Amino acid sequence: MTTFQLASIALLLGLAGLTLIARAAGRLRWGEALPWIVVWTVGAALVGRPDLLTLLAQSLGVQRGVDPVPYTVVLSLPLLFLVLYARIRALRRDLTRLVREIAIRDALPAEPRDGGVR
Amino acid sequence: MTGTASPADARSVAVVIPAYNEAAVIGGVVREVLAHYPSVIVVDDGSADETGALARQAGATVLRHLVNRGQGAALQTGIEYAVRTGAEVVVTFDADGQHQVSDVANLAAPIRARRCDVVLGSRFLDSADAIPPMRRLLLRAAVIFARVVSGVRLTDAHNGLRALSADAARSVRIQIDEMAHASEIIDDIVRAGLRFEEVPVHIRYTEYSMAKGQHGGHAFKIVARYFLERILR
Repeated sequence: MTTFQLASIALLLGLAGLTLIARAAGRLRWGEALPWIVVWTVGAALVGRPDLLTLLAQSLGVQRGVDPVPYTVVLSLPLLFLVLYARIRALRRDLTRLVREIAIRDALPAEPRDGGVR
Repeated sequence: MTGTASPADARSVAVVIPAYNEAAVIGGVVREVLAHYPSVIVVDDGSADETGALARQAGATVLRHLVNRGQGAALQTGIEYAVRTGAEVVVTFDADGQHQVSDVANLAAPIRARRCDVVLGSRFLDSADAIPPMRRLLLRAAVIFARVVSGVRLTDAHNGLRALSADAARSVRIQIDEMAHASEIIDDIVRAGLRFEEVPVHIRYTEYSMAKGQHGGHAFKIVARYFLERILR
């Protein structure tokens, strides 16, 4: 294994470790931490054993080891777009609801504070 | 043919006018409507000019969005306020001077007669109006779009002049903030099983209103936004 591979594996496993620490400290939920731990760990495995990607590619009927990478990107991008759009949409709706409630509240006649006496 | 409402009928109508940067015309529009209907609600959608102040000076009740949210959002705000404050009929009316207050009575009448829950204005039922050719083409496309996507046969699917009963107004929930809300309103009408009809209305095409209105390129954005919202609903 080359120095670059060792350094990269150390970095990736370090990131996985930091993610676990953040999870243990309660800063991340398991649903947020687990995907990242998988990404860092798989990345470290592929750096250490590049032939794994070729084996995976061939098992999927793809010739070259690097080909799954652009295929995955092309398939993931529309999904990622939809996920991001849905999140932004939810934020925008919350903002509109807030702005609306303030506008209506400011325009409605003030409620009497003590027993109906104005 | 346009009508006039009796004073009692006029009091039960709330006219909702969403407005964004309409300082040039809003005072005149509000005064024109107020001359016939005492309840005029202007929703100032985060305007950068004096729209809100001018509307208030002209005598409207003004609600102000702290930040611009879009015409759909402003309409929903105005409709909610109108229903909360006891309106029996809610009329939506554009701020740019295109709509004519003389059409409001004909919009409200079928609802008061309990013939339907929603009345949609149509500029194509009365051929007297001169509609710019490009605008006519876009509006025809919108009609076909409504027929294919919502399954509704209309003669004018993108007219901002409409009336809703208070119950119908509660059933309609505009969630698309921008211009695709017009198609969303039609979907809500169908989904809620509301009875609707179209009546002729008259549109004034001025240089100002044409400059402010939707252009051809916006149509693609509106359609794309509408479909995205439907996928994620």
